Amino acid sequence: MSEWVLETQSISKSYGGVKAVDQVTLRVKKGSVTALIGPNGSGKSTLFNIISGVDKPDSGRILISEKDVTGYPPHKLFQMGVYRTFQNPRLFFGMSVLENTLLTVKSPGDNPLAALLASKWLKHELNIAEQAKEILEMFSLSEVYKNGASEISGGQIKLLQLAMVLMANPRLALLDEPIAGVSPHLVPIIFNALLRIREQGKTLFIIEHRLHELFEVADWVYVMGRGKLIASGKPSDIVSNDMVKEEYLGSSMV
Amino acid sequence: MGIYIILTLSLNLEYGYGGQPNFGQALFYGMGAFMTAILTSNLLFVFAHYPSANICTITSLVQRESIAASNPVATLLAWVISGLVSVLVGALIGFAASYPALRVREEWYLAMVLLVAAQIFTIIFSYDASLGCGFDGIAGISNPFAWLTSTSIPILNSSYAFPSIYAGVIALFAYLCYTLTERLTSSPFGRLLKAVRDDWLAASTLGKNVNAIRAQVMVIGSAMASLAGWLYVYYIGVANTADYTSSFTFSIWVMMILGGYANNRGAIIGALVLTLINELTLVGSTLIQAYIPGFNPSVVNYSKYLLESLLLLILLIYRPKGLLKESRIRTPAYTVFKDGGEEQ
Repeated sequence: MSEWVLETQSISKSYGGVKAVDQVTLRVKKGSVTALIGPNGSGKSTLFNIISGVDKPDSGRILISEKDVTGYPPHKLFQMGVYRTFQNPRLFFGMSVLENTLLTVKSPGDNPLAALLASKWLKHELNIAEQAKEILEMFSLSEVYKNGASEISGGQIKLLQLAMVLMANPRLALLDEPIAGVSPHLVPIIFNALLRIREQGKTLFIIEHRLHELFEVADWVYVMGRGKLIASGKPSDIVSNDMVKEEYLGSSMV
Repeated sequence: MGIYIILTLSLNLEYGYGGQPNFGQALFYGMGAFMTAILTSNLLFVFAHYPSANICTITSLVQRESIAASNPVATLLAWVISGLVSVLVGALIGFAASYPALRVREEWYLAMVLLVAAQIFTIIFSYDASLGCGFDGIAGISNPFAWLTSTSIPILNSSYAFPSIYAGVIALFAYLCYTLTERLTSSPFGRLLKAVRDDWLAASTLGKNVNAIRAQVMVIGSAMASLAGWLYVYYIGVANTADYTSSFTFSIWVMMILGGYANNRGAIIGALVLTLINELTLVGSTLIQAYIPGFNPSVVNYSKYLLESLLLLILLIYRPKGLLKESRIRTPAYTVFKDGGEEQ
């Protein structure tokens, strides 16, 4: 088994002549926390879209554990172990917290014929509900489990996203700004949640602007600027990299 | 009544739960009806050892009715076979209809595709007499229990027994469809349907094969609509394109919207309310015709469209989500928690 969960080879993607992602080649090590940083519009989310199959690259290849998965639809990539969260959380807001959590797991009752016979899926349903209960407790969400996902706070939504990652048990989780937009006192709570996921041996690939906190947990950092990969290294190297400072204008680094 | 319930349940499964706006409900319903009428007409002659004939002639119509009144084996056999084939054909057309559904990202294009398909269906069957006897339709499809009158069984051979029995059969099928949809929707499959309806992209990033799920729901929904068509033809005795117009489709939509999206009980209530309006206006127009000579009964007859629209408008203002609220998918998963998931 390869030590690289994810490899992208010269991925490019243009929108109407603008190169959103330009020849990006990077690798994510198994079991690592890898950060992807860069100013707004540098192509980070587009890259995530391509890796998770939401968008197709114009050129280049994507490998998941050495298997070429370029052009796979999102549901196939999920089955390969790629989980993706969105910058603007895309939960099922008409459904409960518990239902959202259960949706990350494949059930034998997903098949309409099996769905008619409760005996085919009941045991599995109760098992995953137990598991969901544990995970929701871990993320302090067990009190709101039957609330609609639209009825919980923004911070709870972020936590639910992470609970769903843990529930889905992916090989690689692509987290698009898991902390951004929450009130400051929630930041350490969400970070703890991230650490919990890492403890379970998951590989995390994170887009985030809160560099201070991120660099404490990250093993490796990639920096993008205007669609290109401009630097990579250990967090300590990145902090002292002039090019990165320039791209970021030093604002959040100081 | 039971037929409307089945149709509303079917549409509610497709749109209320699955988010697939089927504006071609009449197509699947009508296909079931015509498939039934064509098959029955031919099968009756085969089973009763008559020489095959043109099913559109008056002679063949009389022959069909006499077979149905005297030969229970042939009648019931034709009834069952035409039912099975209609459901199968409905499922197949549903599968075919899901093909464009998978290619249009914006689901309302699907609505247009199906609306047009339903129009094409009525036009072809109206103008091409070789398929379904044109504008006259295929008549002479007797009640499958009409032969009871020729038996010597007391009570059952009276002229009101067989319609009651068939009404019971329709009610039974409506009940079966309700149980079926209720089981389907309160399961992980129901959860999946709602997920795909609310955000198909998010559902696909959670490993859900959106195309397959959309195809499945269209197949089930249209098979149910065809089942209703089969039941209806044997009830009304004729398959006529005038019964399968797009305005009929919209009546079913009103029933669904009235009852409430993604609520199977709501679908039944919606169907009941609208059927009631239909019946009342019909009775009203008959009464007026009888007591006030010279008064145009159409005024009352057509008032049902006014009433339907008015009801829809009032509802959209005060209860835009229908009479009954969308029910949460309550699988036993909730029982794992302390309070068992009881609503507060």
